[in-house]
Order: sequence, then C-alpha cells, then structure tokens
Amino acid sequence: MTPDNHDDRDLARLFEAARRSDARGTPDYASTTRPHAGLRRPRPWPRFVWIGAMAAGLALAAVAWVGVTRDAAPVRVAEATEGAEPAEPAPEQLADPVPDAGDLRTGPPPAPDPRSSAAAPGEAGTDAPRSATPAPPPVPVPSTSPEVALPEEFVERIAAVAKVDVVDPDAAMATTQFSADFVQELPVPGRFYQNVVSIAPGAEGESADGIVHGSRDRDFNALVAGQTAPNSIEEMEVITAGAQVEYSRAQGGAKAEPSAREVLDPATRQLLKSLGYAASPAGAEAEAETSGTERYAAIDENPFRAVAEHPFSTFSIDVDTASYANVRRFLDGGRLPPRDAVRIEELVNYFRYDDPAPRGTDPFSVSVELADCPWNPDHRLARIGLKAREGHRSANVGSNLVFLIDVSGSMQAPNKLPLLKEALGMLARQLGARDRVAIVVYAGSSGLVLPPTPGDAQGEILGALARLEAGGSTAGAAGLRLAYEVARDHFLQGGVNRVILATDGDFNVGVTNHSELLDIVAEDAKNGVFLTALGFGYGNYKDDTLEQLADRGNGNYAYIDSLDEARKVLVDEIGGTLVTVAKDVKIQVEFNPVEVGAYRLLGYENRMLAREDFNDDRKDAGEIGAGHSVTAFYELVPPGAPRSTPPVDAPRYQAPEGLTKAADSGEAFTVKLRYKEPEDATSRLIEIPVVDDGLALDAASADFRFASAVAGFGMLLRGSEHAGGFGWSDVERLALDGLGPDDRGLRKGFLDLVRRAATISASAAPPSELPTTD
Amino acid sequence: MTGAATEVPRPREVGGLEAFHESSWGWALACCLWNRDEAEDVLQTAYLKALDGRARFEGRASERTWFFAVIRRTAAERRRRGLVRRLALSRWASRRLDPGAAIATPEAVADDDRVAAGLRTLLLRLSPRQRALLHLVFYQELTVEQAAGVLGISVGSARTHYARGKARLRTMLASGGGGR
Repeated sequence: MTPDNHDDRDLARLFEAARRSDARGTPDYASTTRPHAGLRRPRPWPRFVWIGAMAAGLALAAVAWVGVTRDAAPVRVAEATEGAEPAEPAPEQLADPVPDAGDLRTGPPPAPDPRSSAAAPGEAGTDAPRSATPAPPPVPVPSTSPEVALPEEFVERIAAVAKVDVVDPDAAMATTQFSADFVQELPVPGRFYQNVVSIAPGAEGESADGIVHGSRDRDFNALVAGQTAPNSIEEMEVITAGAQVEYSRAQGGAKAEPSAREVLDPATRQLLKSLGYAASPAGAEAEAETSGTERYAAIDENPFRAVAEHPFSTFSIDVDTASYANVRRFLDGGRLPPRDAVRIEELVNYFRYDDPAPRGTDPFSVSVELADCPWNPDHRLARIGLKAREGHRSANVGSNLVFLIDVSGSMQAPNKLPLLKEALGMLARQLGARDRVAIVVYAGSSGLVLPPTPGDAQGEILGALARLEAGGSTAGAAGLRLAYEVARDHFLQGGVNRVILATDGDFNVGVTNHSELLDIVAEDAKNGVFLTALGFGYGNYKDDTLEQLADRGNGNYAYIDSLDEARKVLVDEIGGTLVTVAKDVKIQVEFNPVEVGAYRLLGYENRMLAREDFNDDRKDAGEIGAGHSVTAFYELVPPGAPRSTPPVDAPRYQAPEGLTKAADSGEAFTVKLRYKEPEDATSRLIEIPVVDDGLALDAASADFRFASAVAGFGMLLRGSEHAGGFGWSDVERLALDGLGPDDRGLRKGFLDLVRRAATISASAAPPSELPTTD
Repeated sequence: MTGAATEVPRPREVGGLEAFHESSWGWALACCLWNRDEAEDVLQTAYLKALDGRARFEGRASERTWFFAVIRRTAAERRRRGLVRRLALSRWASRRLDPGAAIATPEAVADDDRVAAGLRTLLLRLSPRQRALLHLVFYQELTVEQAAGVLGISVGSARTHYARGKARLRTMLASGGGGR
C-alpha cells in the first residue's frame, strides 16, 4: 500500500517528474506568507459570479431549484438562482416553466438552517464557522464584475424535481440521499462537477428545507419544502457549462437524469466542441418516456414499407425477455404498462417454440411459416423461427462467472437484493468444480467480496451472497470495470466467460457518460467476456440502460420479478443464459415484389440495421444462447391490396430495373441469416427462399397461433394502429388455440395476463389518455 | 481582512512550515486542480491561517499532515464560497490540457513537464478522493494512513480509494493516455 512497493514504481516515477515540474514553479515562501507582498494574484474573484439566496454569504453561480412534479409537469417550489443581487433571485428566473394552477412554489429557499450550515467536525472544525468568517481574500462586489455576461447555456445548474406525494414503498430511506462516495465519483475532468455539487453548500441536511444540500465531502441530501415524504426527490439534473451531466445514483427512489428540456442547441454544442469540450451525448438522445421514476427508451413502431421501394429488411436478433416479465409486473399491479416498456419481440421470445432442432453442428435451425394474419384477414403473417441447439454447459471446460451485484441503498427492497441473492444462489448451486465464481459488489463500498472460487465450494459462494447488504450509493462504473477485470484475469479459453450484472438498473457513471459505460462493455465483449443483465425491482427501474448494456456487451437481458422467473432464467434456461451458440446473428429478408406489396416487421424497432450492415462483419448484432428460440413476425400485404400508408407517386426519372427470373419463382421472400460461431470473426450465411402455400390460420401450427397471439397482445398494449378490430378476447382465443403441451405453465400464465389486461383496460383508460381527452 | 495586515506576527511554527513549503505548494496545486492562481491563493490563505493562529497545530499529527489538512480545507472552503463559478470559458478551455498528451511515449518520460502535464490530465479523470490519495502517497510520500488523516477519512476508505485510483490510473496509462 505504499509507493515503496515494487509494483508501484512506475507510478512513483511519474509523480516524481510531476514533483520536479511543480517545484520549478514554487512561489517564493516569504512572499506567500505575507499578504499582498508581491504575490501574483491576478483577478482572484471576479471569475466567480455570485448567486444570492443562500444566506451566510454563500454564492452560487448556478441555478439550484427544487421542484415538485405533478404527473409529468415540473413545478418549482423553490429556486435559487444566479443574479446580480446576492440576496434575491431575479424575478424572471422565478418564472414557472410550466404554468400550473397547482403551483406549489414557496419562493426562494430559506436561509440554511444554522445547524446545517455549520461546518462538520471533520471538515472545517479548526476554522471559524463559515457564516461568521469572511473569506480571507477580499470579496469583490459581484455586480461590478465585467465578466458575468455568459450566455444562459453556460450557467451551471443543479435541479431537483420531487414527486408530490409519491413515496417509494420499497425504499426505507429517510431522505433522498446522494452519498459522498457518489459525489466523489463524479467525473471531474474539465467540467467542474465539484462546483456543481458544492453549490449545495455544506449542509448536513436533516432540517433545512427547500434547497439541495450537500457537499463534496459528505452525503448529499436533497429535501424539498413542504415535503415530508421520504424519497420525495424524483429527479436530479445537473447542467454544467451548457452540457448535461448524466448521473443518477441517488438512493431510495431518486434519480438523476438529463432532461429533454435542456437539450443544447446545435450552435452551443458546436461552440463547446470547438473549445474542446466533449458535450454529453445525452442531449442528442431521444427523450425517454418516464413512468414514475422508471425509464424506457421510446419505440416507434415499424411502419409498412412498400416492397418496390424497400425490398430489403435487415435487423439483428434479440433474445432478451425482460419486457415480458416487466409487463407482467405492471399488469399484476393493476396497471397497463407504459407503451415503451412493451417490446413485442421480447414478449414473443419469452416463450419456447417447438421448431425443429438444428441438424449436425449447426448452431441453430431456421423455419418459416406463413398463414393468415389474425388481426387483418387481408394480410398474411410470416413467422421466422430460430431454434438454437440445446447445449448444456460442457462439464470439462467450465465457466468463469463474475457476479456484479448492485448493493446500493435502493436495492434494499425485498424484491431486489433478497430476491437477487436467492436467484444467484440458484445459479450457484448448479455449478461444479471446474466453474469459477467471483462476486463484485458496487455501492459506496465497491469491491471484490468473493475472489474467483470453485463452483463446488458452495458454502463459500452462498455464504458470500448471504452476507451482502444494501447500503450506500451506486458506483456502478467502477464496479463494472472491476468485474470485467476479474473476468479477464481468469479468462477460460473455450469456456463460458461472463459478467452477470444484477441491479435495479439505476446504474450510472463514475465514467464520463453513458456511452463510455457502453464502450467498456463492448470492448470486453470483443475479448470474449459477455454480459448477462438481470433487472430487479421497480420504482426506480432503468430498463433502457440495462437493455443497451446487454446489447453492447454481447449479452442477454432478463427481468427477474419473482423466484419463478429466476428459476426460468437461471435454472431451466441456464444454457441459453450462459452459453452463446452463435453471435452477431443478423437477419435480412428480401421480398419479391411480384408476391408481396408491402411488409411490416413486428418489434425489433431498436434492432434495425441498414441493408449494407448485413454483410459487414464488423457490425455487431445479437447473440443466441443454447436452447433459445427467436421469433420474428412480418405482416405482409399482397400486391395491389389496400394498405394503411398512402401510395407514393411513381418516379418520373427512374424506371423499374425490371425483375429477375427469380421473381417468377412464386417465392414470397428469401430469408438470409448471417451469424458467427462464438469465437469466430467471419460470418456464415444461410439462405432460405420461402413460398406462400396459402395456409389458413386454422391450419397453422399451434406455435404460430400462440406466438401471433403474443405479438397481438403486444400490439394492443402498445396501442398499435395496425391492430384494427383485434381485441383482448381475440388474443385470448388465439392463444388458447395455440396452447400446446405448455409443460411449464408459461402459456397459461400468458392467458391470465391477457385477461388481466382486458379487465384493466375495460375499467380505466390508460393514464396517458386521461389528460388529453378534453 | 487580510489586506490590512502588512506585518504578520510569526509564531514558532514558521520555520517548520517553510521546511516543506515546496510540498505544500504541490499539494495546494493538486487541491486546486492545478490552477496556479487558485493554488497561490489557497496556499497563502492557509499560511495566514496558520500564522495568525486561526488554525492551530496541536501536535496530534505531524506538522506537515496537519498543514496539508489546512490547505485542503482552505481549498474546499474557497470552492464552496466562490461556488460554482461561472465559467470564463476561454480561460477554462485554454487551461485544459490536451487529453491526448501522451505520457506513454519514451521521449515524454524524459521531459518532466510533459510527464507532469500528462499525469495531471489523467489525474483529473479520477475522483477527487482518488486523486488526492495518489498525490499524497506518491507525490508527498505519505503513508495511506497519514493521507487518510489529511483528508479526514477513514483508513479503510482511504485504502479502497487508493487502490481504485491506482488501478484506474494504470488502466488509463495502459491505454495510452486513457482518453478516447
């Protein structure tokens, strides 16, 4: 632990050089110890702008506001803002951004409580209280500063938005707290985060109202005037020099996330860029739909496309199933899920289908079935089914697993950490002597809690799991790095190398931004360490983060809401969860204009690829695990049939290039697949021409009917415009027809879900429609 | 106000402080993210506190770790007071070091200033606590325990941050400057 350690000489040398370099610029001691005796002090303070509203002479060059939301509309309750007069926020800056009769604004924040502004014992104990001691350097009058005229975009700001009376029933935290460790982990370079955080000056925070308090060195508490509810902060937002800072590691149901309100305009972005400032990509990202404090990436349903203009449809497979369990969780709670929580392909792929097993050494089989479309009798529905081979984990190679477990305070709820422990325990019990398990936790105290341990040392593994306790903030990125490091260090050639991330998804930074987090994961995926993301709990669930992580990390993503679900993912389907049989699996379908007028891919909206990506082996795509079923549906419109998109004019200057001979073959389309063996860099190609035999829906296989019922269910939940008159009872009937043997009862569970959705939607319009009906 | 004092009474510690003036300067720089102006200000304020008795060495730690703690608090205090500066963007941008400042190349190693600049760039990417610990241990050659004392944190926490900081610094070094 000291630099004398031989291992640390490399670093010590660097610091020595730095010391020599600094020493050459050391100011003269005598002048430094004598005030104003020749010491160079160029403009020490006018660089700072003073913000009023904080008593005790605290000055903020940022806007700090704490607001209360009702539904989605933020309402400020208190606001401290930058202005020329230190004592009073500028009136226009108190202007409410969202006019709202229920304005709960209480004016500028009150003076910090004396207790809270008093220095902490360890912090400034030797100094006089800040409020009583003026700063040693003379304080300039801020209004005379010639340098305050920066554009609004460059003002730093921290904002907290609170829920009116929403208390996260899962969380047992007394306040919404950002721990000191969280604060410490904020990436500093060039962005002055430290100041952003310290604009919440010094208060320890049990009592003061209406301001965000905290300091760099201590836990960072946020309370809101008039709010006594614990965890009442819903959202924290930090804007630094015009760029968004993404982070969200508050405990107990709080979150911080960039808001679409603050997206930078292109000119500002350009300016920042020219200054070498890497603005967060967050501003450019699409606005995410929020439900409570949960977050889902927006999904735009794939439209119908005319074959004449778009003969090719290309996408990456997706074996995730998280959306199904998540949808179930909403319906079980008596609510319809938010649209964007419904990913049709994940619903469909939740179930196993009885497609023929692959032959020989093929990693998967491909089958295609075409029949009448259940929700539109004029259309045809094509089901493309992939069935991966059942590969049990090879006993003589073993697995190198690193459990990366979120033990932050928000994981305390019974459906999070306790469930997680059970779930991973189930997985651990299946391991053998050749397997290795390590456990890395992240939170305030992130680190390796179990070094790689043989799978047959069950006691040790289960013991380590049992000892995990939730507490502290989330330092996800550091944990992620450590987990990958451990996995790399114990890389098992030819075996399963996987980081299994278990979290409620409130997983952020420590790295500069979200995309960097994804890069870490993607980098290691290239080196053969894959990722499994397991989502837990709700109230604070970050679905989009987890899905993206799994996507980039060559992984899969499941949502664990119950022990049954844990058993499905980690016991029954463990092969698929851990063993990848093929990677970068892409599907391209080429439609024959003679047979098909238009088509629409159901789901996979966030997996679409460009036509040319199909043959580009550098383009990453989805993985398929042992025993996985992957299904994709295309809704086909016969040529000449009316379709829901308006026709386009024929081109005046381009003639159709004419049809190839194959167009007369009667084939409706050709399915092409590219995939790589898990350790290969070059892809293999499979091509399957498909002829429509005119199958009626009744004659279609049970799997076809069941899977299409699930797809239809997803369309109804998403409020798809293509569902036509198709209703819940149609879904139920179709699913009942296609029930099949259903040995694990999953399909019956689906029927229950459909009935529940029908009941809920009959009794209440979806919440999003309530305010807009008038 | 300090401006009124032209002659400062010099308590006994003066000689003691002077003995490690250079280290104090290095630490003040680190506390101020290598902003010279700020570091000078902070160091001067810290000296004044020590010299006029507002901060008193009570013999509980070594004089140097005590004074380092004074510097750290002074810097933190200044940040908090001056709080969230409105960024003078041009100056700020010019102060930013080239993230690509290669420190892995052999010729750079010979050049202290370049190494120092590169190291600073990397250190700036660490958390403040990690940065401070690495500085105190490597640059100031304190033990982790002493460093924990300077920072007012527990030794266990210091060890963790120290280890993580080292690991992360190494990772960045290995990736040739750590930037993308």
